[in-house]
Amino acid sequence: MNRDRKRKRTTEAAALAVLLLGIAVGSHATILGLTGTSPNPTFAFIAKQGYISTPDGNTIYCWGYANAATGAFQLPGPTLIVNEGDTVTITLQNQISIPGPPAAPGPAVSMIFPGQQNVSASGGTAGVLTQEAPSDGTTTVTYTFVAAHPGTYTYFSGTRMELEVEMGLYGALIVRPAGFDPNVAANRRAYDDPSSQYDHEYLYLLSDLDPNLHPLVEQNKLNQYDNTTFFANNWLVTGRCFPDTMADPNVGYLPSQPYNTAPLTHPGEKVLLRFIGAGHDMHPLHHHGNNALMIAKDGRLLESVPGVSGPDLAVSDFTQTVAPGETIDAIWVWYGYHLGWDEYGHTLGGPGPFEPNEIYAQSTLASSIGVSDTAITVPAGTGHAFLPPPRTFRAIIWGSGYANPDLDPNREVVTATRSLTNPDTFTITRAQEGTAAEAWSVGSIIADTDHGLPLPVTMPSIQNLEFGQYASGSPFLGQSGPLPPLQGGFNPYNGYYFMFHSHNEKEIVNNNVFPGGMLTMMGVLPYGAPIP
Amino acid sequence: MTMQGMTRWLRPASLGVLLWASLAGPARAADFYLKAAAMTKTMPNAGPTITMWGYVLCDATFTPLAGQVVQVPGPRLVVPPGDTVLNIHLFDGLPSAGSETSNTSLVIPELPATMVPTWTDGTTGPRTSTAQRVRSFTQETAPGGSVTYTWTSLRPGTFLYESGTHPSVQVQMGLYGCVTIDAATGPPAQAYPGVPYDNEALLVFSEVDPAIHAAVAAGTYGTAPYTSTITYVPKYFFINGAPYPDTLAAPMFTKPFVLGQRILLRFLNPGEETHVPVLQDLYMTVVAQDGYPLPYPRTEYSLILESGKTFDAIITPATSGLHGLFDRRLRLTNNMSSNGGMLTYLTDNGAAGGCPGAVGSTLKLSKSGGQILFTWGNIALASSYIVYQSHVAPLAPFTQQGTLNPTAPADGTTGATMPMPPDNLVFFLISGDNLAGGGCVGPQR
Repeated sequence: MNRDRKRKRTTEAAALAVLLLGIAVGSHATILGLTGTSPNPTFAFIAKQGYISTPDGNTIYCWGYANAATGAFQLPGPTLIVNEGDTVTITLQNQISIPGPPAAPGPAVSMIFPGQQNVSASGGTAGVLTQEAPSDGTTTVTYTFVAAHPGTYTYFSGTRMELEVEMGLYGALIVRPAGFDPNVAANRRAYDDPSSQYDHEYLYLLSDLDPNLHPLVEQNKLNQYDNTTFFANNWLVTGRCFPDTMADPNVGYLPSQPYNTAPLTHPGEKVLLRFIGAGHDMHPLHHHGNNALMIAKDGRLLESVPGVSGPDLAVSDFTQTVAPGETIDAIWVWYGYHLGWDEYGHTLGGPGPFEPNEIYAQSTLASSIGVSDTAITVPAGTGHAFLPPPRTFRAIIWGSGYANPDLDPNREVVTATRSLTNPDTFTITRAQEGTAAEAWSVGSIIADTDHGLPLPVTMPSIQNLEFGQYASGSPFLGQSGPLPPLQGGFNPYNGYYFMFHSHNEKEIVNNNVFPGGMLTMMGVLPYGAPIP
Repeated sequence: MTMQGMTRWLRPASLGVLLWASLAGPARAADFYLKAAAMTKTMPNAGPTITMWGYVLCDATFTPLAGQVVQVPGPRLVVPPGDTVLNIHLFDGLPSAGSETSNTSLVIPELPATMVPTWTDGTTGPRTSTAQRVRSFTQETAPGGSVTYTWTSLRPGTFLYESGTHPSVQVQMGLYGCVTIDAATGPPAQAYPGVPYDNEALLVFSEVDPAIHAAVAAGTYGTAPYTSTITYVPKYFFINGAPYPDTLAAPMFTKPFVLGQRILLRFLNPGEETHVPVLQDLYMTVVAQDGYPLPYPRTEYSLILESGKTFDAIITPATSGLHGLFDRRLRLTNNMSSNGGMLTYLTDNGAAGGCPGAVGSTLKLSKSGGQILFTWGNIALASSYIVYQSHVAPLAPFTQQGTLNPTAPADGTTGATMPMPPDNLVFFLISGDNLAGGGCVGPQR
């Protein structure tokens, strides 16, 4: 009987998944960049100068790698997206010319690719780490390597790094695994291993800049440029400071900062976060909402047997320490796990669909109970799925003949605590939330769920609250509520928004004005809401 | 780089032999005699001469051993596998340091020892007054005197030793060094049980703020503007006590570099800042941190090397090439000058560790059909030649193999050959008056 139930639930879940897939086809947010033509992608870069704008009203002289096809200065450099096994060729010319006065040619520049092996460099002149392109605008340096391993990587200037990395000569390199297909869920992976599968991916290229150093370069006062006294005042995610991070990509008012970082997802979907340290300092990038599972560092899965075991050494953490030059891949998933109320605003008995991920753990009764019993047992070995003691959880017991508790008019809400000594034995407190104690037969279903759990607080009057841009006015996902004039408005699908930010709090400012800097908002939208 | 400079790379190996010989015996105790004293270092780019404090390896009367000078970092202390006791006999030869006393001491943060703090009033033992603050983590050595520090719970690992007295002054002045304890001598040696290696390099990251050093040297440290190390703004950034390009002057590896061998990199940070060493063109397998082997080694190209941290990592370069190693926190200047600081190479340039001004001009050796095949980068063939020398003592004069065939392609794609030489030879490619590369073929143990 229990098996029948499970089978039926599985079928329903599959049907629902198909339904969701139908809605969501083609909406797997991906990272913007240059892809080239596999298996021999070729990219032409020109090191250029230009200005970025920061939300504190500043325009800052910077250097960056420009895509020669458009010739437009940009920061960071183009995100290169290639495939495992590709022979990647990048040509580099250098048009940097320091304005002055007096005007002066810029220094030679170059590119290095940590994590890529057997990089060959030709042309230009020899530098300390690789071949360099002088700022004559015509000399071409060619870098070639085989992108042998999938993963998240970075590139940056290998010349006078304390100057040129500060000025913006850095970018991201993503190597797709063999067989990657963004439109086939199983093949939408960060690495060859299936556990790196994801639904959406976002790039967090973290950098920092000292706005007092850049004018020294612009005004040709390089003899005063002292990186040992570096003091950052702007912090960037993929080239923008909050709130610009949340604007659309390629917006006209940020002509040299094309990339945004405005992540969106649905409950339960896997979000691949690609972190890159591109600046001077380490940034503790903290994600609200849930831990993320760090599966890879420096383009290599965290695995006990490289290439075999999969990321069995992955680390679940709520902050990723992103060091300069290194990369981290982490998978973040949000759903209302033990949120403390039903995030969909359902009431027991319906109406409202029973959403995926609403059940955190489920089993059956191994023996019948009467209306006054305060202990239950579940089949041996199934109790481990429930919260360990001493934590108490809310559970619903319902008849095995019903697909979900909404359909069983006799369902009973209990609070339960696992035995310290026997994980398959629970102590329960009966008849919660207005339900009545029932006699339950063997095979009745018990599930740890917040389904139908009312909001545990009385919402204060909106006159007593301050709402941010992303407030919906409602504590429930997909629902809206009244908002004061001019508040909210950035959340048309009434999602939940979680701040992803540097937890070095001085870095979430724009030149001392909060909020800003290294900050984005992760939007969890209700099922069916479109994600670009 | 001169030929004289190149021969220096053989010294650590012979020193190791010396230490081993002196330590063998039934006591199973390793004894080292160190003297702490002042010294100076001159910075590149016509930089300043900076007063530092370092250690010199001595005999039991605290007379420096032959060829030994005061150095920063201090001499590496190699404890033979199986020894159960480490004694470091420390003689205090420091000058007066103004408001700070010249007492000193020596601690190894990762190895347990019996330590009795010394308070700011000069007493030791239990704290008797709330006015007392700790000035030394353990018993002090007074100027002109010596104290023996003993560790009895030894384990394999890479460890820092450093001053435990006024550490905010004395450690940044240069009183630090490295203790290594291997699990087995081999060959191949084992850093930890089951972690063999064929060759190794020490990589000690530290920094210097010349203003604080000048204040200490002048006896004005502790008064404005250098009231304490809180004012620390380092201007010079060292790997093994020298900034680039001087990082290339000392040998990088303890043995000749051979492609495909396992090279142990021992990273240590006795400095005041976090550094992020990044490898170019290579991955490393991180096998231990703080002298504890990792149950599952990690493969990565970067490390977060915090103050006081040690990491052990293995690289196995399969190809020749310029494998840069640099601090990605951009400590890559000598004061304000570019192309300095924490930058060096893990190359197959053998003893040279890298060749300033000779990027891409490396010498590569391989065995081929009973012959040794040389290939090289772009050099002027007519004025180039290869020399070789045994790297096993006693040192013989360099033998010239002859000029390169001027008809050979300058990029060395076919190279030159010579009959297979005996083992233990190291080869150098000389182009004009410059070292353009170096290397050898195995077995070289």
